[in-house]
Amino acid sequence: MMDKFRIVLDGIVRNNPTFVLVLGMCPTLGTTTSAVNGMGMGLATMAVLILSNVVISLIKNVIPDKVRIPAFIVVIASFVTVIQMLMQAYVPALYEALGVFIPLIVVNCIILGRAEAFASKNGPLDSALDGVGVGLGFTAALTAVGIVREVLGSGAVFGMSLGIGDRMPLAFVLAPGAFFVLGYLMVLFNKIVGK
Amino acid sequence: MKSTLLNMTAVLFAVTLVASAGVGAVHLITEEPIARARAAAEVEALERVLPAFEHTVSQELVIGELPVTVYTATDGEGRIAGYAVKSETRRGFGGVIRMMTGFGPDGRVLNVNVLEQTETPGLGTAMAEEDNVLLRCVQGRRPAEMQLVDGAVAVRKDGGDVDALTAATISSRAWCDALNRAWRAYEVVANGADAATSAGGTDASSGATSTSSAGGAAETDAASGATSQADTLQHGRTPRCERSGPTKRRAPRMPRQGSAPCEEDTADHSAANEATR
Repeated sequence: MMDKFRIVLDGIVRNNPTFVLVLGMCPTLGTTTSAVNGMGMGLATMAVLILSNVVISLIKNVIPDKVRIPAFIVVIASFVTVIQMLMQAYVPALYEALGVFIPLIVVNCIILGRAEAFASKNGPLDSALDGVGVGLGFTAALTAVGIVREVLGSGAVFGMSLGIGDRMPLAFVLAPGAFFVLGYLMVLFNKIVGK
Repeated sequence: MKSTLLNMTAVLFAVTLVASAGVGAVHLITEEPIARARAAAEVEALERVLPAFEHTVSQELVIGELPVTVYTATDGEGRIAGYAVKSETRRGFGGVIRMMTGFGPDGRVLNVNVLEQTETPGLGTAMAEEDNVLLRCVQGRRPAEMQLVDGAVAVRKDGGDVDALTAATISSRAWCDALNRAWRAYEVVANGADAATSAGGTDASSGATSTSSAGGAAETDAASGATSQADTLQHGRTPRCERSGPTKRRAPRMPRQGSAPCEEDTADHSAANEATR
């Protein structure tokens, strides 16, 4: 039991994809203009990650080594397409906000990385838990970056205005702000966790 | 597992087969909700830019090489409630901007609703907000009565009288471009018909140029094709008609400041009205 919990916790803290492994930077920088967008991106990635981890751990024994990567990519791409269509159908607003980043989940190195490093060596349950852990870590990191950028850039949290919008430096919503916020949050995270 | 040509081929084939079957199945399930979500977004946009209406008839035109859709909305008694024009531009800072512009029967801009944009967050995205500077400059006015530059609505920096969004002049220019396209499409569709009853000719920049009579005939056909499919908006469906060839050829040549309204527009417009009544 403790082992299983450990897998999830590792994904969030010790193997945090954004702050520790520094993977998936493109969606991290691109979609975190607001807390909601960051969270939506994180959850969509998490869904793909869990599904692909489970399926890959199930089929790992029948896949010949040399075609491992193409087979994984097909599995991941299919799940991304499925998630994309579901979002388009049921949450069109979020789908529009995330735009091109949804199809790009396919090439998110976190997902292929976990498929290679974890799912292809472990059973389906552990792989699902790894997906949950890493997915939560990614979601939490993206939401944190999103919240900071939204507060500093447009004076709001999750779309609720704090009434200070006019006086906030807009740069935080733009690309440079993404690098600043990510950098400082990374320092903070590693300072706290490192001890 | 050891790789051989046979098992690699077989496994990859099996994986792709199962994956494509899965994606196909989900597509079947989501196809309808996606179409419904799109239609709902369009209906919502129409309702936002128009006064109360019962029916709409849509016509597709091409203005300056980009597609424009004009929805002619009528009330319960068949009177024209207004025109909603969906237009797009590629001059945005971050890609295509699509917007819906509502015109009253008298040609005043009722409202503008930006449907799609990928401008800079916090700067150009302000164009999608309610009561933004751009909208305030044109709302309730006839574009023809504004200060025009080369016959088009323009931002103050270019000599027009639209206040640009702060630090987003390119986005504001693009917004004006889309508005101009909508306005030109509105003139093509509306003023031909209006000319019969009101003095469309007095409007300096009204109307479109007329083309050959052959083109006119074809367009009338296309319009009546649309009217036969005319449907009420309560069902959440907006009818479309085929883009007719002559319209395509004609639109790019249309001068910014047109002359007299042309006959074919009168014809197709009244045809459109009849069917929805």
